Amino acid sequence: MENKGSFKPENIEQLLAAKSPDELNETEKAFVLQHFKTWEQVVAFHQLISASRQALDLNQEPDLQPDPAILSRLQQKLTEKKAGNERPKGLLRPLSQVFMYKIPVYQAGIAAAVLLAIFIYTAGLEPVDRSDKSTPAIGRTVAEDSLLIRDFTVTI
Amino acid sequence: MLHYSEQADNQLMQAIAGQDAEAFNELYKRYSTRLLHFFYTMLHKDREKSQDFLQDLFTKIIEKPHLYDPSRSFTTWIYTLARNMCKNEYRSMAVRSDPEVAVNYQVLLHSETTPNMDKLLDASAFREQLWLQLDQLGPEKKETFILRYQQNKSLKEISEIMDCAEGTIKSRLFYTLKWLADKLEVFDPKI
Repeated sequence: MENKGSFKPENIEQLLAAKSPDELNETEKAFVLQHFKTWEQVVAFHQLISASRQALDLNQEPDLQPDPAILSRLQQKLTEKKAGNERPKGLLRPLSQVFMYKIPVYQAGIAAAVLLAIFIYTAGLEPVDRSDKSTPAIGRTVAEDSLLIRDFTVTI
Repeated sequence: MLHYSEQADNQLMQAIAGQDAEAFNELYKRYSTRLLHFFYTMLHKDREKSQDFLQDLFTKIIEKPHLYDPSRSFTTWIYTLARNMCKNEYRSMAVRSDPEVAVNYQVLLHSETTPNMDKLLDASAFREQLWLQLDQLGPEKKETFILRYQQNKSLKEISEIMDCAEGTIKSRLFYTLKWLADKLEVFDPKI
């Protein structure tokens, strides 16, 4: 690096671009100091870096500060999150909150479709009972009918 | 137990994961101004948008603290988040395209009235010119430049934030400075 024959101003420029003076080690500092003033373009390059640092310095925009409302909103968010984490889960959750939960329409639709499918399936499985007891007249005898008529007459 | 101001960033993050408000306030105090300036520089000096981005970034910290890996540098992580937000914004700006046009137009106006030596020697005029030229850089070059010369990040930190080799960052900085030197001719000793 200190070989003058192979020295190019770009070597110092690259060093200056990558590191600030306080980041240079002793060898690099010596190298920069040795050649710095001999090349005008290196001086100009260094000036550009310094001026850029200065121009971008945060203090150049003293009125650019975080809006205090941001911190308030963030604190509010943090408080809400904390409250959310501390809230009891499951059955212990207040009922009002459970009722406030809005079921999405598609979920209700799916539930209805499932119930309908179950109903159709189970109805389809049951065989039609031809000797249905709900039609008692078919299986009754004449004697039974007479008894019924008699009871009916007595009641009247 | 250490006072919050004496705690390392990753310790504060662990406390924030447990919704510790004091830890959050300390972290906000440490990074909010720096990050606001970063956004401000990266988002073409849009104050309102910079404030919004700052709020969104810290909201992410509140809502998803688990995304942070405590074995890694917090600074690297938060700047990576900030950088990704800017990248997304650039993408949507590219879709909208209007801001780009506006910036180019502004530069065109300035290029027609090339500033003389006296004006450029004035710090504020230099500053204006520098900002304009930075807006002409590609996002990656601009980010590298800002992280190095405004946020004072080391090459190693920048390479971690931008997820690329240190050598790439080094040459990117060098060629950006060369390009700026050419654009801001006042620093050419031959003039």
